[in-house]
Amino acid sequence: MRTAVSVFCAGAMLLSAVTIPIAAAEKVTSATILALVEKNYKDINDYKVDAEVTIDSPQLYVKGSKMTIYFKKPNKVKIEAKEGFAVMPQVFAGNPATEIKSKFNVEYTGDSKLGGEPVYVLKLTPKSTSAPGNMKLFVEKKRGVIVGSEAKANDMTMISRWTYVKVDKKYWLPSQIKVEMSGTLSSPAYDPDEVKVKPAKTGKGTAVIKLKNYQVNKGLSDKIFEQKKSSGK
Amino acid sequence: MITLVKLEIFKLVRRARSYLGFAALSALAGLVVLGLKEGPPPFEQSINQGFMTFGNILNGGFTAWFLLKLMMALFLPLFACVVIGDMVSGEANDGTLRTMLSRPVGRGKILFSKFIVSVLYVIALTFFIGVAGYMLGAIFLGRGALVTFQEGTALGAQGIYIYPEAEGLLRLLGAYAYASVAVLSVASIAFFISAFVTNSLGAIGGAMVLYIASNLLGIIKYFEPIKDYLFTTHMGNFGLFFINEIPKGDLLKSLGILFAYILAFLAAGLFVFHRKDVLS
Repeated sequence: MRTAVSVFCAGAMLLSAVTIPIAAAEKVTSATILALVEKNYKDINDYKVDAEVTIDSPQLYVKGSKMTIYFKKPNKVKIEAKEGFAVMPQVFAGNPATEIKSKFNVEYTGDSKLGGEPVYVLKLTPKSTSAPGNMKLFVEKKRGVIVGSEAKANDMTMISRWTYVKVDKKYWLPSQIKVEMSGTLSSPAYDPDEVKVKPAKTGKGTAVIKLKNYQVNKGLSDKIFEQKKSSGK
Repeated sequence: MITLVKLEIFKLVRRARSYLGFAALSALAGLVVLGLKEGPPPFEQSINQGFMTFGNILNGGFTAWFLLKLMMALFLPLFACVVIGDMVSGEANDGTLRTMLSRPVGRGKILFSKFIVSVLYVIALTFFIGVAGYMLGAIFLGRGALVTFQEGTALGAQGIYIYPEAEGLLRLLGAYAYASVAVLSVASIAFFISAFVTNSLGAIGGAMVLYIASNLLGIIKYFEPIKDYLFTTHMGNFGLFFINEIPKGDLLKSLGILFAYILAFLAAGLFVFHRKDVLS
């Protein structure tokens, strides 16, 4: 499941939105960039969105796993499977800037371009071993949204790209997160049928999270978030 | 021929042992559903590492898949053989075979009609476990997306495939159809033995011994060169239906080998039955 761990960064920015670029005179630091990302939530009290996850890797294949994601300030998130069961890569389910600050040491390493757009480049180092490995994060200067990440962990490389949609002509929210993985994508596993341990699988894989039908600031009830989240049984 | 088949069906439904497999498999399906419902989640760990899961992995589709995997190892072939191994030998044992052969119908037709009914029985038994499993699972666990594990174990799975409910059902349908052919390959051995013994236990036992022996040969390194030609090697390939792009070449090859076994044992049975000196 290292595949999936690696996808962690992929969904990182489910909740990015509108942006106010850092003022030219202000000195750019990791804190100001994260503040820029955080501002995206300023006018979003809640939202609901339909998500569909497709994963195609040597370890795991998921075809159109459908779910509904609910978000409410300050950081309430609920994800509900539409067909009884759903799976998605671990993501910063909530305010991404807050999540990043709590789990990583962040360093601003410079500017670059991604898809022709100028971006800030952040280097994220995990504070604990439970967090994913080091990664580079790209924050678009123009909109202040996270548009990509690159990470290397053990023998695996993950490259992710985010595309956005403008919801209600105001909020930039992700419409698709695509992650391309390569390298060692699974752990060795004992196969009782073959009576042998199968080696770890290497190769390439892709994970795509598609998000559509955003409903922003419709006044989601707290009751939605009170239900106990079930996982597995 | 249709009259003969109808007659054989009539005889089959009147025999108590025909229902043994259905009853036993129903009970086993019930126990499996109970275990899944009340026990700890068996596969959660495989999925949860690195992923967020929502809802319940256990449902009707999962139960049908899980049961197929469990029952194909022993129970389905065994209960099929219990009935198919009795098709001819049972009549010989009861003393009705000679009477039947005294009628102006060819031996080949009689045996072939019995074989057709055997095929129908195997299909019914195999699909029964799928339908029972799905329905019990849907009632007690719910419905939803189909999650299957194709390689490794619950704690170290390598091939996890998750499909929307509708597609999952179609794949289950294909897998059960394939499983019917796989079970028939074992049952055809019992049918063949049944053609020349008068005690159905011999036919059932003989088929099961061959089944177990073939399984053992498949895991002994020395017999690796013949592994591909053992029917047991291909019996578990119903799992191919749960791979995103079904490897049609492998599937057809496995089906070809299973059908070759079925036809070979049917032909051998016909040969033996034609020359058989029926004394009872």
